[in-house]
Amino acid sequence: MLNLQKSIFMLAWLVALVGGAWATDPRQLVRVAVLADKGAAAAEQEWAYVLDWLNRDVPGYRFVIVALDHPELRQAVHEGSVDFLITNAGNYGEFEYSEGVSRIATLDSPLALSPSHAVGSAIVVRAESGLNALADLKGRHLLAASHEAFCCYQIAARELVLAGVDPHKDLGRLEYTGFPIQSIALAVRDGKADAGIVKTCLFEQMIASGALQPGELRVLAPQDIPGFPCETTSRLYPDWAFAALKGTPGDLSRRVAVALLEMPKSPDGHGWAIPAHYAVLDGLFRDLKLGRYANPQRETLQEFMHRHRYPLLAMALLLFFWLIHTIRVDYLVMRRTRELQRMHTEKEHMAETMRERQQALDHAGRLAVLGGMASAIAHELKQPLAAIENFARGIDRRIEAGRLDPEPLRDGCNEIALQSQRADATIERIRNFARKGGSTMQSVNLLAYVREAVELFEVAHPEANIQWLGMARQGETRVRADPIQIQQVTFNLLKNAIDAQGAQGRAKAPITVCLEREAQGYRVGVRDQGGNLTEEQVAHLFEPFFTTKSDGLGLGLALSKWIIDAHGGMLTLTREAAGVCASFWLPEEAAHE
Amino acid sequence: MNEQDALIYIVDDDAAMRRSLAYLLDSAGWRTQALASGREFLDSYDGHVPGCLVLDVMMPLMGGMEIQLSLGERAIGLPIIFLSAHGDLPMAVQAMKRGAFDFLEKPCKDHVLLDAVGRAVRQSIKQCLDRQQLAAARERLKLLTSREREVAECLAAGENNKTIARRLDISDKTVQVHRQHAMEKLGVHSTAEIARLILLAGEPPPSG
Repeated sequence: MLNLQKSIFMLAWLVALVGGAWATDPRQLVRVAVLADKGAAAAEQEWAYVLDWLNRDVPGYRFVIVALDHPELRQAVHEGSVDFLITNAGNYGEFEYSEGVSRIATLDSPLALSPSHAVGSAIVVRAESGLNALADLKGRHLLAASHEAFCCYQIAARELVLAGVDPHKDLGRLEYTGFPIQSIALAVRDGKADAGIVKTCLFEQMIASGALQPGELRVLAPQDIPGFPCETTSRLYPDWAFAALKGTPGDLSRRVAVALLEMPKSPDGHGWAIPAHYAVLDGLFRDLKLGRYANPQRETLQEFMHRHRYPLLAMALLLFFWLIHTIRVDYLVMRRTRELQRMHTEKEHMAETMRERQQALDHAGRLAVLGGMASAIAHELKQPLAAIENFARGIDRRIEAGRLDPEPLRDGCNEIALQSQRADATIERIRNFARKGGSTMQSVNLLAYVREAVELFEVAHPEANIQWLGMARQGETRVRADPIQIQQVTFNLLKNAIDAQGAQGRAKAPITVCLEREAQGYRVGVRDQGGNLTEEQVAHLFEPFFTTKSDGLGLGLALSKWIIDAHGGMLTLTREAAGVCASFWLPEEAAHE
Repeated sequence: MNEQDALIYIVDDDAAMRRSLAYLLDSAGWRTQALASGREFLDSYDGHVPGCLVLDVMMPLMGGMEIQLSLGERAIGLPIIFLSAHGDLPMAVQAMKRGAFDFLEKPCKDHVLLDAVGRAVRQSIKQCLDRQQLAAARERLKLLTSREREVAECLAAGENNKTIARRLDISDKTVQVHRQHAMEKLGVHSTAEIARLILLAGEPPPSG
């Protein structure tokens, strides 16, 4: 974040600077980024010679140095905000792979064996230390410049890896000191660490300059490279590269390349050569798992976690809460499932109980209604039986008196037979009525059965004043129903009506019975003048054992409703000014079934 | 006037019951008329023929008890035999208080019904005869003069000629003459018979 701000600030500053120059300088601006791991000032000074040369040798362009550290450089290259870059071989290799930059020249150093074999790492240890092989560094304290430093970490790290020493796991401690690297050598000399990684030839230069005394330090496991003037622990790699970014015009790149190759050696002996082959870096990247071989789980995990600790923490918290939430939801779901299962079981149990109760109620209701109809039934049976006896006694007396005219005797016998049939029909009807079990649904003419029920009722209740309404207009009223049950319901409604009126002392007030066609079916209504019921009473009327009568069981309406429901119909009660209109609706029978 | 002339009315809303009762009574030698309602009966009854009414208590529109009240209002003395299917005791008591002849529970044994009918008819015939005698006695009493009527009433009250003469302020002889004329006009032969006729006729007719 800090780096980003820094680079934005710097870029803004650059733009301002360049913008200012733009007005007076007609030359096109060319930005040359330089890896400045030793600091911007040092870098600008180091590369001033090259820039001066380019400004002189490539007319029409104005080259400026942009000194950047590793993150800044990475960003600048990625954004394409510079045209060229000068960087070490390791860094170049990374950009070649990730950003498509292409080298146009390689630095030709005076100490290099060749531009392709120019730099390496020397691991310095104190001369008297017992360390001789790379493997001896296991468990030791090693210093390096930074994990991104090419010659002061990466090159040496590869040799360690190849020697079976994992720099991150096997060392006692790996410490990054930053630049300048001279301090690494001095720290090792002073016993602050067991070993340190430095660029090749630094060790020799420090002795030459007197910073180190010969014999204080030595290079660990030096390789024998003929012609290379310095001791090195590692193999040698190409020198710094001058590279063009992907978007830089080819013509400009070519002109810069030519200029670089034509550049006379600098006062300290540096020049530019044909670009070296950087394939050797591939092995380094592979062994260190860098660049295209990067394995974030290994090398960068720690770094990565540190860098993203806040988002990671937030994510971890989120994950934690999500986990808690998931567990809670699981628990709730489990609990709810158990609850639902229990409820389901209870419901089934209740339904079973209800079914049993309904059956019992049905039977009880039939018996109750049967009881209510007892007087009607008795009347129905007594009449034909009494008539039969009268006819039989009459015939007997005629014979006794010698009045043997066949005609009246035959009349008497016929009457006896007729009345026997009547009694038999009544008994059959009662038996059907009281029978327990499923109903016998059949196609019936509703009007005929309702009329019969009303007639039966009139017999049982001679005081009833029943008036038909709108019946004459009805033709065939075909429904699918159990006729006995429909009669039972009609009888019940009439019984309720006359009981209600009787309670008001108006038993002889007219009770209106109507049968009307309504919505694909027929409605049979019984309207009484038995006074008003309260809303609450109406609401409870269909409940079993609710009754407003002093001698009622409270089963009539519940049973009636059950019967009508079973027929797919509806039983409704409506409060009216003078009383109640009870009615049931049955669907008409489909034409062909 | 005898039992052959009697007419038994049967009123029952149940056709079979009605027909069977008629058949039974017919078999026992009675003349019958079966009707479906009290209204039909009230419309057809002429009030002169002796007989009885066999009446079903429970009927729509006009029940047996209502018919009884209606007959009472019209001063029709036809004996009523109630038939009840329900054996309703309070109703029976009420009916008997109002002068029902009998109250039978349906189904009743044939001989019980026929016995009741026989008794009712005999009562009815006697009522008719009594009514005829009353009418005859009143006719004859109308033939007397007012003085003869006074003398006859005093004789019926058990007074002797002397007492009567003093009370009416007439002579014994005149009492004797009035008595003789009265006995001739009434067609009786003794003082006792005069007394019976006057009692039979009940209230003395308004004088003048």
